[in-house]
Amino acid sequence: MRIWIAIIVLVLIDSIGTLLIAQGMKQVGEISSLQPRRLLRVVRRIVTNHLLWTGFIFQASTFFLFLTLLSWANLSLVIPMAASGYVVNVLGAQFLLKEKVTKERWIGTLLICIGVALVSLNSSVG
Amino acid sequence: MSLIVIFKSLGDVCLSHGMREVGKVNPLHPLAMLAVGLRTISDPWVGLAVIFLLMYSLLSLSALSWLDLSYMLPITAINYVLTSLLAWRLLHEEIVATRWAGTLTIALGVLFVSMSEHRKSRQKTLKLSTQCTSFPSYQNESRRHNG
Repeated sequence: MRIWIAIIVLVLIDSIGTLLIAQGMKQVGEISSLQPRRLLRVVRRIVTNHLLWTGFIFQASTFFLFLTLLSWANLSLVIPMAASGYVVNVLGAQFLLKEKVTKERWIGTLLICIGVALVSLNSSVG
Repeated sequence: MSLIVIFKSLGDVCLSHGMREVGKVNPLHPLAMLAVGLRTISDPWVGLAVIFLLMYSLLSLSALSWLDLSYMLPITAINYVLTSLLAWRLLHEEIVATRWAGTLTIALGVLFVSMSEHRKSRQKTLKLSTQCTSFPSYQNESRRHNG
């Protein structure tokens, strides 16, 4: 039971982190130039963006929770379950970031989700 | 996008190679952990991996500034395929049938998304170009009406 709750929390924290970073980068604005002065301005905007910082904290927490989870359960159990994060991320992108998620993107995401689960099913063998 | 995928896969492969050189980690002994930490920092493969993964992180951040997350996530998943291929060829890892099946399913998913987006962007440019070519004739027509 403890493992399942931890996996659900892991997927949620990971997705929240990714969504915050995506939204934060949209606020920072398009990076279209490699001129040092403009890049410096972008870096300044990244460093001062609260959404990005919160996103980074969530991602760091994901990493530590993932490490903890690996000490409780096998990688071959954790990664297939964590693959559901792809679906949660796209759900978040559709409903929170208001992105237009086409049918093709959904089918592709589901295929990738199944693929990631299959890849890691026998991770203790390879 | 290709650079993001290449940097991530190369980073992972270098990290895996580097950590094998470092040796197995025994988390129970603090002193042994310190030695492993020092060996990890000084390993050139791990250093190279950190550079690759840093480039990957910076590039994916900048890509997120102008791309949809729901597009970027499926497309960058192709790194699973590339990493499997690199692990198989360079690290000589044995890859079982289910893993190849998973890799193929991921490739199929990525192909599905990228092909549909490619088709859509082509349709958009076609629509734009027909609008552009029809614009002068519309102008001529309006001129004729005004005249």
